[in-house]
Amino acid sequence: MAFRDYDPYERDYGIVPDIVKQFVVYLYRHIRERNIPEIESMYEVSFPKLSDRYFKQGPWPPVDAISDLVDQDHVFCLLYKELYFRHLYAKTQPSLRARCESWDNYCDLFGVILHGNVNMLLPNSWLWAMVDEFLYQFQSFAQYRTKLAGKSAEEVELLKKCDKVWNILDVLNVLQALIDKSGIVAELSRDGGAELAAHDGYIPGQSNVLRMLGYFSLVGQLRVHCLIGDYSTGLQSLFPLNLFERGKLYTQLLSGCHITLFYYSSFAYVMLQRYTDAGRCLNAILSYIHRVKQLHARNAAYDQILKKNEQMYALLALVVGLCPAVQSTLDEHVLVALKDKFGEKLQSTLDEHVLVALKDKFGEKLQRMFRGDEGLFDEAFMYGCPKFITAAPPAYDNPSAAGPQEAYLRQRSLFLRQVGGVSRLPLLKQYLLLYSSISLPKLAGLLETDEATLRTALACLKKSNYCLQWDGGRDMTSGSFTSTADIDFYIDVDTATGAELVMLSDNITTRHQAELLSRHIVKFEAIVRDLEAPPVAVAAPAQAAY
Amino acid sequence: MEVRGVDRYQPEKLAVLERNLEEQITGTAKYSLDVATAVFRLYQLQPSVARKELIARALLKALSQMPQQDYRILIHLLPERLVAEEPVSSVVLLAQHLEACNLQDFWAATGSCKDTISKVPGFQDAIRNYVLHSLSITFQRVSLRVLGDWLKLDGSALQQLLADKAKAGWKVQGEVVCLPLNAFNTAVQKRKADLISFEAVAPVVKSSVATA
Repeated sequence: MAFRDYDPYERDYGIVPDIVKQFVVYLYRHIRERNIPEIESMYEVSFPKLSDRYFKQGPWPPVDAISDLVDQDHVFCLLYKELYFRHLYAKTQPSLRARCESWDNYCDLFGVILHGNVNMLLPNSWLWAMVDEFLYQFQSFAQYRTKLAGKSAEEVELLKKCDKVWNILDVLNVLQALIDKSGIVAELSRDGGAELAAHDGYIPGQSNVLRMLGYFSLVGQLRVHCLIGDYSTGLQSLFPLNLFERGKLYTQLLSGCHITLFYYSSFAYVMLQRYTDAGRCLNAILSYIHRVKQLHARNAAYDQILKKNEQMYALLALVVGLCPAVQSTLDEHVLVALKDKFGEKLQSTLDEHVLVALKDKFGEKLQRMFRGDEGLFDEAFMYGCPKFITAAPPAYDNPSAAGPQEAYLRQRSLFLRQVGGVSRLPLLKQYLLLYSSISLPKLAGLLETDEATLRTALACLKKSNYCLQWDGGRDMTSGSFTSTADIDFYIDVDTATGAELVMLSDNITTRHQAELLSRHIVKFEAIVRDLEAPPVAVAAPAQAAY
Repeated sequence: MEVRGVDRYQPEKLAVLERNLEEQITGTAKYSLDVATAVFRLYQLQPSVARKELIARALLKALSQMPQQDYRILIHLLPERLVAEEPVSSVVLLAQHLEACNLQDFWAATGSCKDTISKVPGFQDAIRNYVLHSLSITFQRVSLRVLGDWLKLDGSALQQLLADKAKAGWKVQGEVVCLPLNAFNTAVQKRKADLISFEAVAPVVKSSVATA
């Protein structure tokens, strides 16, 4: 398909800047020589620098302008086009043609990797970015497709013809093919990722391209499934990655991948009403971000990381609002940060010392959330949720039928119903906290409701605390039921009088200080050791290859 | 029937999956959530081929698996237009009542989708089992009248059910039924002791030994 003639962004590339030509030639040479450190530095440093300097508003030169410099090497041209389109998407609004071309390019590129015998080495960050960008463009196309209102008639006609482009089944099949061909599942099942971690992802003597693409496609599948509302399959497709035994996860070395993995998993757990698991994931990833934030401060990805951080705090507020018992499982700094952000909104009914200092700041919002104010759950959900898509193509003949927000609104209404079901309960809980036992009629009187409704509400309260929790094994969707209640009660009938009593139990929990303190002690000692060490001559930083 | 890997994304397999789903509903095939998920996913992709009455029956089957979250998992996959009309909409209403433990309304609402329910054998028994389970995590003792209301059974049917459950620890004492004790309906003084495990302080010990 020759769309290039109509590309509105085409400039006359009679002259490609020399420095860009040099970049292309060197990149080609390094890829041929499998020189990973050089490729990495060119990809991570030179490419953004050149983009900033020469191509701030427009795209890079089209591939034909530079293909002579690289002997028309087919694979290199595909890689170059991948970078070209990524830059295009980042800086401009891509046209339908550009989207179709990019799709063709990805198909060709993955086709070569799957069917050809590729033995080149590419930096893992590039491979992850490939998968990430592939899915981002897919999401972008799905949303573009549903916005029928602003489009002219010919555009809609063209769109109808492009039904093969960015089709969800093809996307999923590509990811699945990468996973199957790379044999990553068998490898990870065998050794749990030990070999991968030991060699930083670059196992000597082999090409890392197919293997790492397979690995990243596992995360990719999770993402696609979450976007269409298929949470349990998403978690299942992660097999054999184990979210809760993070020591073996290779993704820790690539923050983008690690964050994506945990963000979508925790969102899936929230929608599956497994709040303790969601809380655990969120705790882990928020601690991770807290640790590695500074390393990325000057990276292009920094903004992305911060945005995801905020989104995950919103999700955590949702989790805590729906299942207050999760608070006691959070790390201290995560809890503190959560209180800062939703600060005036959080009310603690349980813990003592950590939260005492912040208690004055507790104001309205989380108090209201605890009292079941739906508006706040809605707000947090809207901020924290991913951009859902509808798998089906829109009804082209009926543009007003369903707008681009359809998928989001659907998931939101399901979520709000879940919340609505428990919104009357916090008031009930507040009353229950005051007593160690109370008769049902008396409680009904206090709540101004009748006994039948009250009985239903109590059963509902018990049920809402009866969650699935992961307790081992490779399957992320498995688990056993546990009670996550912060107040425990049961209903009994006094045999003498026949009156029904609600009996509550005392819950005395103490936070585990030992781990936290020992961690801090060790860190402190390391700092002191560094300060006391004799000064070492600072080596001049190596110049980045230009 | 397992739906794994690349099988998940083949629209040509839809007919096979639908047939298996129907067999699961009637009880001739083993229950598997994967199949229903795959079918619903393909329906989301092509809403025009969606069979609404199959959706309704599959949702009822999933609902009977409570307290497992199968119903929740499936309902997230269906776009608005597939749940807005009968017979799916009355099933959705039914599920809402059940999730809110509103059993009076639930039993009343079963009247409106009698047809669909009749095509899912074992639905009512499964729901009754779930209600008994719910009761057993909330109550230690419950009056016979309440039990009858919640199960929509009375008289001899109720006595029969209780006789069946007697082996599991359900005892009848006059007007009151005693439920078996489990972790959820007993008041335990939970004192989570601040036990300091050795692993937690090992790093401190190690570093102080190193610097000593």
